[in-house]
Amino acid sequence: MRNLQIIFIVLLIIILVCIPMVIEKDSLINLFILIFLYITLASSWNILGGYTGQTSLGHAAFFGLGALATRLLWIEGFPIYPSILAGGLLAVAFALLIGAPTFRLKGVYFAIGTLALAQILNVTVGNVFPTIAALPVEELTTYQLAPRYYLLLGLAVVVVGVSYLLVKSKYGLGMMAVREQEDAAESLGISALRHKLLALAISAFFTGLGGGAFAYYHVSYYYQFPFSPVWSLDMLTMVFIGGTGTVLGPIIGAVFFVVLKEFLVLNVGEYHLIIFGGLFILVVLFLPGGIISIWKKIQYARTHRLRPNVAKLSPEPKR
Amino acid sequence: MKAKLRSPIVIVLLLSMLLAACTTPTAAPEPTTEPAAPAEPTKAPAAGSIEGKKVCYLIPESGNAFLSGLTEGVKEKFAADGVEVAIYGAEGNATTQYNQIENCISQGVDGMVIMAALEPEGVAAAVLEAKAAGIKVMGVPVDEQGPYDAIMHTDQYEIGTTMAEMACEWIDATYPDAEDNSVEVAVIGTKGTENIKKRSEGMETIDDCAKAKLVQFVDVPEATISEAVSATENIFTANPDVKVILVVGDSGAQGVAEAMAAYAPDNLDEYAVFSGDVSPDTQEKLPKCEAGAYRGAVAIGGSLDDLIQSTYSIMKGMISGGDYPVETLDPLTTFRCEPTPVEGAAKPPAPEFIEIGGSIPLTGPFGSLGNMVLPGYEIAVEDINAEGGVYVEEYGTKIPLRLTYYDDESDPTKAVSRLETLFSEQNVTAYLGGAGSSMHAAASAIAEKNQVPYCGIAFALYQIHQQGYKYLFSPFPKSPQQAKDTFEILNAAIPEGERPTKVAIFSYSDDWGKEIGDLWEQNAAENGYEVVVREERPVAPDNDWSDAILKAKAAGAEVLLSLPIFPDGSGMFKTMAELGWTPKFSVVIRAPEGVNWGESMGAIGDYVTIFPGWHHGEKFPGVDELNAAYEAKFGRPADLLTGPAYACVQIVAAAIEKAGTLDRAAVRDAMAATDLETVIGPVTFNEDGTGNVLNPLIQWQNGQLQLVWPEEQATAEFLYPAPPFEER
Repeated sequence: MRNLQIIFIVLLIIILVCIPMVIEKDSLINLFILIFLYITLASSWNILGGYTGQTSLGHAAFFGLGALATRLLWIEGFPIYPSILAGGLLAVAFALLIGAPTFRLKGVYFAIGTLALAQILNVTVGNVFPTIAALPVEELTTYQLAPRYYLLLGLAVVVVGVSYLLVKSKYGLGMMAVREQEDAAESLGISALRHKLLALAISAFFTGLGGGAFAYYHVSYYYQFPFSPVWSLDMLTMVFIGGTGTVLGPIIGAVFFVVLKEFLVLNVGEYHLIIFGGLFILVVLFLPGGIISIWKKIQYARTHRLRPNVAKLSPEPKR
Repeated sequence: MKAKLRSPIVIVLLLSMLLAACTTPTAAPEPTTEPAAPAEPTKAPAAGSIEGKKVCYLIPESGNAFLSGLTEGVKEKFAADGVEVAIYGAEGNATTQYNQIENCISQGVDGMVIMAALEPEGVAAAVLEAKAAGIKVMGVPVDEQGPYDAIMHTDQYEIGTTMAEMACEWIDATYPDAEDNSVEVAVIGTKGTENIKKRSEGMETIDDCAKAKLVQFVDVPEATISEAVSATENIFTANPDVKVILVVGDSGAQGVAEAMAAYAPDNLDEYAVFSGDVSPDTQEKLPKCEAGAYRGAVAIGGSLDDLIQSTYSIMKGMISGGDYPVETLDPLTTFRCEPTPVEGAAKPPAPEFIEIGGSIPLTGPFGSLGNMVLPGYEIAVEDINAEGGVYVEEYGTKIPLRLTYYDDESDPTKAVSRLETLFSEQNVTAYLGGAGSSMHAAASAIAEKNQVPYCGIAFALYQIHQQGYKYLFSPFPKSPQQAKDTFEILNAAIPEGERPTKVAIFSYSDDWGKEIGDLWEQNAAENGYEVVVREERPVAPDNDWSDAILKAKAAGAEVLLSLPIFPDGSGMFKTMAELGWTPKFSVVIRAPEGVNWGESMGAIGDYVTIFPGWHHGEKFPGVDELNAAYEAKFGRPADLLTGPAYACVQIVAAAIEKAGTLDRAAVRDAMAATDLETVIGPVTFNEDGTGNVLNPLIQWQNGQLQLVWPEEQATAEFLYPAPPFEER
């Protein structure tokens, strides 16, 4: 990473840290919180779906388990941060439990398999915990957005940092090798199952932490709500909009997803879904590599103009 | 003429007194030298029966508003005891007053109240005559006992000084930056009668007020409204900068206020008049600042009610032969409109709009409900704004409402975000809720966090109200009421021998399903019904109910109680028709609430009843207008959730008006104290925010929604039993 990039990232983080101190509008802080949450979720999903090529439609299960464990422990009086950690670990445990059987499935079958498992969990939680997970009134009256903001900002930074380091590590290269051609990777001594399980565990852990942060942030919701398949689809949508298998893609996708949706909802009323849907189709049609591919295409064009014979390895998956 | 009459009367009275002294006097209490406290209203004198007795009430002016209020109040109290009270106004004429006293004596009345005697010496002689005839006489206000059996009196000078103090406080508050002796004041009094002279002297102490300067004293013996108007016009001619006038009594003050309103219609806030007594009307208007420039009055004997009570109590003691205080010193009370500074602006500038807003599910699973709710809010806001908006006392004007709403896509997380936006960006005074329990659960918590009053409908879940939230209000029937009404309506509508007895409950395994399922079961047992089947399924659009239906059929269930969402409910009924089980009576909440039930179900959907909270056929004020407005937009009468949504805006608007401010905590308190007639009928709230509202039963009949219960609101008769599906 070049020095200029490091300075830019540090400056950006400093600005983001200062935001709650200078902005008084809760609505804007809420918007940032949602962006950080979605960056966390999109980046977590990207570790499994983007780098390892395993399209999961069941990440809502990890998110929901993280939220469930955190909320229950927190309401029982446990400190919030260990509760969130417990949520992440529970998500990992469940991921490893379902990982072995589901990784026997490939491609679309894997996606459907994960969706089915998440739905089973969704219905079960709905039956076992049918009530509202509302914060007590005393907690509401002392509710502060700032600690939630910093928690989610920290989480987003950590997930993006882990993604970046993973890409550079031998495990990351192994995951990408599995994504590109599983049999070829196996023939080179890379254990596909081990790498897929590792990706699943890391992805589930951070998704679970995201769920825990959600439980800490959200004042009142049904326990079943974080298990809704909409969460899985949102994660997938954001990564595809931004660009799969890249560090920046999920960030761009999450910002695009949250900010544009918010802008459309606040400004065009009931037509927001049609417009957003239309934009999504345009991105998929004309930018199959996601928004990040615009930058890559520009870079590619510049590189080829200067050095037409240079080919460069990219972590981006082949399509 | 007067002198000629007076001498024989006095001689006759003295002779009568001598004769009376020879007879055994009635046991009269020892006169007290210390002023007595006003009679305790609750302490009844030791009395014999007073029914059939008569009392004369003599006042100087029958047109005086204060005296009329007082005498009529006393008369009313005595009427309850069977005592006749005759009121005589002397219209300022002393001879008339003599004649009236003579008349009362000749009538043989038992008691007499002489108020503000026009010629005290002459009246004292008449009092002696009355006493000789065995009549108990009370003098009001009389400073010395004299021949009276009892006296009530007031420190007239203190009345005047109290008026002056009130006026001085008003000047200080209204003209905070005024220099000393710069605010001109006039007094309308009289030096003619002893009592009013003292009061007038007290009023003149306004000159001691630092900023006030007494520039004119006008002597008007009895200031009626018209005389006060003339006197004020003269004052303004001589001293056009006079801002404050002190006048002896209530009628005079009304006249002065009238003249001030004509003199300075655009800046009446700068003028004030204060009175030495108060009529019942003014007493009510003053604290609300509804009497124009009339801004304060001194009430003799506490409030008028207190004075009525003490007069009644003393006279009752006198004519019944019981105890009574011979001397009562009336306390003084003030009634006033709190002053506001004139400098700069009398009131802060009003905001352009009162912001209200909501996060409403217009898309997603709750979209159909949200789309029934939103028009209710919109039409209500249009109607209120057509009248100029909501009057807010803090700003002294009507302010239009502005509704801002966002679609939350039936997603509680987005609802939270939207509500935060409404709070931060729109600075809403109140939230309006969306639809569906899960949406309200999230939204009402945000309302509690932000301490914004929240009015939500379209959810029956009782549990939300049990979290201790203070800002959540819902004028919508809740599960306990729905469960209770189910069986009470059945028992009331169907004769005992024909009633069904076996009940099947098909509910969901979510919180509301469990809550109302349990309540139905509990109420069934209490009302003599037996639950033979209770089945639960997850909330889903396509549950398989065939197993449950077969169980119900086998158990002979005659009643179905259920709460499926739309596609699930239609599937349930189609399966029932296929499997040949027709409940005689069914309450199915949710699925049949939309017009699509009638369109898609045909005859299978008939006879089903629902508790949707409202129906466009209800006979409450405003329903016809709401239906007309809805029809103009959508070509049909208002939908089931539109009425409760409309009522929510009515409730919020009324609460803002009642609070007189846009302060959310004050609006919340006013909402909690709601007692309002709305398009859904009368609404009050319980401590937990649940509403006390009508819970109408609606039935599908020939593809139409008909209101069948309560009978006084019904648009059609309740149909029972439902014929088998195959015979329809």
